[in-house]
Amino acid sequence: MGVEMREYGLVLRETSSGPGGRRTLELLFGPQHPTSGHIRFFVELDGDIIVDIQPDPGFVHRTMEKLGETRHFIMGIPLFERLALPDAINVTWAYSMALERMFGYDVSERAEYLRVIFGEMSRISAHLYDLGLHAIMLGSSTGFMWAFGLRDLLVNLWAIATGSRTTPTWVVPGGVRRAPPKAFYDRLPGFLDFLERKLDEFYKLVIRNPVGYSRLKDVGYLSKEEAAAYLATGPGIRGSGVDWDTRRDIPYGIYKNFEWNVVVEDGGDSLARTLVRIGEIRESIKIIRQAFKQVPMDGPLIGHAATHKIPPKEREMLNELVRLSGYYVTTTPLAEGAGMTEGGRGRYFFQVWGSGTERLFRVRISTPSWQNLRAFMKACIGARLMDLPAIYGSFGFFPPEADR
Amino acid sequence: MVAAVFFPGLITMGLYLILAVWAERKLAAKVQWRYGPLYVSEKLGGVLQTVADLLKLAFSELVVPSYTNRALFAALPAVVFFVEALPLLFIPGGPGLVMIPSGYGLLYVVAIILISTPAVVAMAWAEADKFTFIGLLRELLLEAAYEVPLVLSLLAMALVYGTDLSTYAQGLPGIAVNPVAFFVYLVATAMATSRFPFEIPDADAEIVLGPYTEYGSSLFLLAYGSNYVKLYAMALLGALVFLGGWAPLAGIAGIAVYILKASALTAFWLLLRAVYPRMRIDQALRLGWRELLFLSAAAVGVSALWRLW
Repeated sequence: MGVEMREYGLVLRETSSGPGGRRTLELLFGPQHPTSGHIRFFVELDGDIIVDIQPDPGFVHRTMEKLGETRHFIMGIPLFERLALPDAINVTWAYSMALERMFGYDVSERAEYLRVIFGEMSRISAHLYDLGLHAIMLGSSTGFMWAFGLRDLLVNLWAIATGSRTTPTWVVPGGVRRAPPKAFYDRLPGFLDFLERKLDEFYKLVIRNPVGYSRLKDVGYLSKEEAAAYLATGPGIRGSGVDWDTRRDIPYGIYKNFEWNVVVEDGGDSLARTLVRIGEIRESIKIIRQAFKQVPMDGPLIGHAATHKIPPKEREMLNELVRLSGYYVTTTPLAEGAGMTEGGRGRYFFQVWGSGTERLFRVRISTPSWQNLRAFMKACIGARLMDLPAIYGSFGFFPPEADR
Repeated sequence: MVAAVFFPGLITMGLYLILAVWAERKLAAKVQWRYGPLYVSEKLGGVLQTVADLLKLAFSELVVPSYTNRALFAALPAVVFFVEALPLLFIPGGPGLVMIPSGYGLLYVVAIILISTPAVVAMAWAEADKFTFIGLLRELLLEAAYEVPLVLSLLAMALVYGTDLSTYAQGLPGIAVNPVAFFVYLVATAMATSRFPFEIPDADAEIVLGPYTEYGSSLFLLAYGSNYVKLYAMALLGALVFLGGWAPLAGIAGIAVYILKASALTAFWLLLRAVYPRMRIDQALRLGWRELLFLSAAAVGVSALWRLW
């Protein structure tokens, strides 16, 4: 018949370089693909092996940095938490921290404890989200449903405390926006116990599963040197044996008051990165339990300096609720500030420059997924096509966050 | 005539297609802390959801890619569906209840089961898409891994009972005679019907839907439904060969017993989805060519011992 492969849409590329040359198939993985997310990969396959992979990000680029310059700085909080909704608290915490340093705001003691509790809940939320998506990428729909089922309990707690399941908009410069009601404190310990128990079940079902284990073990290897050279972050670097965590190494908040460990795995493969996630959820539970015992039940929600602009009538209810009117009449100084937090996927970095008006002159954002992209691409070379989702999920790559 | 229309023929097959899809979703949902299909016919537990989905698919627009051979593109899903249903010609639903009575029924069934993969490959090739292309290669590789163990496990039973399928309901059920062969059959069938953890040819995580990627509407029903038709044939065959088919009863009650046994087997295969992730292709091939092959050879050995004894 002599049908041209080209007619059938199967364009093979032949290169004469290398021993014997090679025939490769270029596969366009995404952006409309069940597991690609909002990104495209140009995958070059030699048989079943990925010999080259080029990312093509930018499909969900929302000009976050530019938008941050065009509106009131306080409007940046609901804006920037949309970078990574599963990790909303840690993103807004980094932004608020940058603003606090620019304004010279202090943070009230109560808010520090609440921020730690919610920041760790945010980490758990991001980890459960990533573990769930990783599970469905491996084909375990049960793991997906369990992780998202657990996360649903967590976002319900968020809803009790902040009024919203996914967009809390809760951290404000100087403190937090609302005091959690009694119902939140009543339900939190029960949730943590349940999560701890169910996490063990998840671990047994997905990771200790003979099939799941063999899908993760020795897949997407990233050596310690490579991980450091490519500036990977979060589980991406701690899974390769680099002991680095913003919470400990560039301290912020009151993390030094609690006993906890940085989870590090030496494997460097998808399994190690997944184990880091599981371990960090356990550590987060530990931190929340300690903070829960010490959190002051009364006291102002924002620090002294930030209180200054709040009108007297609204200052009376500062123990319960922070009205934002005070922030709206605040203008930014001609100064700059930077904030860095450790989110679930790695470190978030915000740098802001004031302009003398209510708008910021410039907002600089650096997100972990963007930083992990090169390490992720490196880990894919030499893997099989079926490993691509397994590696993707292990980095927890999140295109909306990477594209900003 | 009864065999063709009622059991194991069209009506039971149609019901099986609807109920298997429903049961798959319900069983997985039970494990996964959710309800599964519910709101269409709430009192029946959402059985009619599958029917609603069927109707919706059948009336959706049929898109034929411009670069394909239109005739082949349209014809091959029907061919695949037909070929997957062919084993039913030789599988008896009860004493004398068979479409084509034959002393070599088992051999015909095995031959037809193995033929079905080339039909799927042809279908995937006609779609002419990179994802279907990779899917068909995986289908071929998997077939190479499961066909020898599958044939050997059935051969082991043929050594004891012969090739006439209607004799299998007499005497000891096959699982008591040769449990090793039964185990191999369970695993090899999971591979053949792309159940988890061997759902590799249509792994949506990498290759969208493998050989079924380009199909929509009624052609998708035929193409994807063929998987469940194959599952139906394999469940009936397994229930007959290894679980004694309609024994110990006969007549209508016998048919009920037979369907119950086949349903139990099906439920096992469907439940795998809730337990296992997807294996990588090389791991599945290694399993097929090493552990499964040894086990199936051992199964033949067990049957040989029975013959000698």
